[in-house]
Amino acid sequence: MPAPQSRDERWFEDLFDRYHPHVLAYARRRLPSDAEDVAVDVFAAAWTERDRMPDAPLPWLYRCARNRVLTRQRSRNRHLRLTLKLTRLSPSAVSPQAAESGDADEWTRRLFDVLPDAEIEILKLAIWEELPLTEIAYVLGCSPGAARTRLYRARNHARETLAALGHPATGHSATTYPATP
Amino acid sequence: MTVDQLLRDANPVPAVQPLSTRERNLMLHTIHERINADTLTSRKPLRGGRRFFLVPATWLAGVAVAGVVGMAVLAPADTPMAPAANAAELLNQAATNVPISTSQSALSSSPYIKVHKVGQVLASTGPTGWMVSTDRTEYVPLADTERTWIVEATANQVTQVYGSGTANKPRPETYVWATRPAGANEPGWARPNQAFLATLPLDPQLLRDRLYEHVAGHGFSDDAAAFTAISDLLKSGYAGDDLRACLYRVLALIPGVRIVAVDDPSLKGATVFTLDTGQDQRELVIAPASGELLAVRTKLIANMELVPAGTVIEQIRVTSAAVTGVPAELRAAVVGPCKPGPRPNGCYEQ
Repeated sequence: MPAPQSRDERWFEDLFDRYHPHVLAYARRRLPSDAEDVAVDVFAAAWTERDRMPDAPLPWLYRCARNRVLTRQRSRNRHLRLTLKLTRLSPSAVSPQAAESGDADEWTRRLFDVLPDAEIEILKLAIWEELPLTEIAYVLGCSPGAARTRLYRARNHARETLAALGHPATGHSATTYPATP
Repeated sequence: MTVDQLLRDANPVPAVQPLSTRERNLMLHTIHERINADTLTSRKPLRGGRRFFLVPATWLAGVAVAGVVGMAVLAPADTPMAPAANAAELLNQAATNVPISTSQSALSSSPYIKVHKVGQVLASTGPTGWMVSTDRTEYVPLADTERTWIVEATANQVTQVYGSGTANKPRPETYVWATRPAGANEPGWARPNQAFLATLPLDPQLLRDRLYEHVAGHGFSDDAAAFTAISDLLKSGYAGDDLRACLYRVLALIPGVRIVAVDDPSLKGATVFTLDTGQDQRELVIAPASGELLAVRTKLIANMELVPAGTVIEQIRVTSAAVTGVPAELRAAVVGPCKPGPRPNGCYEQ
């Protein structure tokens, strides 16, 4: 990353070309209907705040995207969300065929209906965005040590929840993460 | 199966395909619009308005690109693609009549260039919009290790453009500050300095070729990007008289450059040249009889938030001269380093 004083339009276009797919994927995984708008918001903020952006921009971009997603989610119709959640929580929301076959989408939906939002987000950051702990900590605004603890608890809670839901086999995580610096 | 494996299998977006060139430019255009919209709806009274000065050239090229695409779809088949004869003739006439009092070689060997920018810029305070005067003087160094020194007086004249009420009417303010040295940044069309400008040919065809080599592939229309790059360079005030005259002749070679009606009584006798871009129309106001660049303007051709189409959101007149140094009183007014956040008065950027 160049120094802030050389962050001109060429720097911005390079930033956009390199990281837009990541930001768009992040947004689509959380808010598919508004993903493009979220990405536009994030890069508009990146230009406005370019002097304050750290040398490694991706965690900053994810953090910005997370805030935008949360804002949009909060503004949505609460009643509609409750209705959808209740529908998903009903026993018929997962078809027997899907449950028996271990359909990952269906089980993940059921898991996310039970887990707290904070645990869902840290699991997504670790597994979908494949961020190391230090970057997860930056996105969430906590220390790397706290991020490690939260991720450990989220994995355990997810495993216990899947077992309680009747998932056929979910063992310990095979993923390892670098030690906290 | 681990939790990680389960979630990895359920990832709804395993990867995102790279954007096509067209999608990329449209997305950059949308981001540019969002930045402008944020500026216009910002409650920061004037500092937000200043951001109009900061819209990068290549994004404007992206805007131009989007407009040209629209034109390609909407324009009738017999739309002339060469510049209207009178536009090219008047641009060449203006080039001939430019008095060469400060050549590019003189500017490029001077320790500093004094650039004076006077005009109006749109500032918004929520539901009300104002045209705010700006009077800005820059002392731009030849050496890239030196700072640019700036004094800017704003809002000495304020005219309401839309909305009602005067609660947030911008107040007159004067700022003095010094930028970071340009340092080792590679100069070019997007970041011109005197060393770069001194390398440009003063033959219109050669200069046109150099410019088009730079803008090639930036979007769908090299012509729109070239027009924007020239207007940015003219607006910077860095071009000497002979280079400015040559740039007029290059404009005469760009297909699609046309004349629009003068809608400002204060610009009587001038000719307004533009190139259709679909959004944020850039206009060069030139007096053919004297070759003088009277203003560089940006006009909305579509509504943006509360700002109606047709609004001139920026109009700047630029003059420049070679000088030997920065006035002592300006240096004395800059007393310490700037802190993060909005730029305070009287500081130098670190």
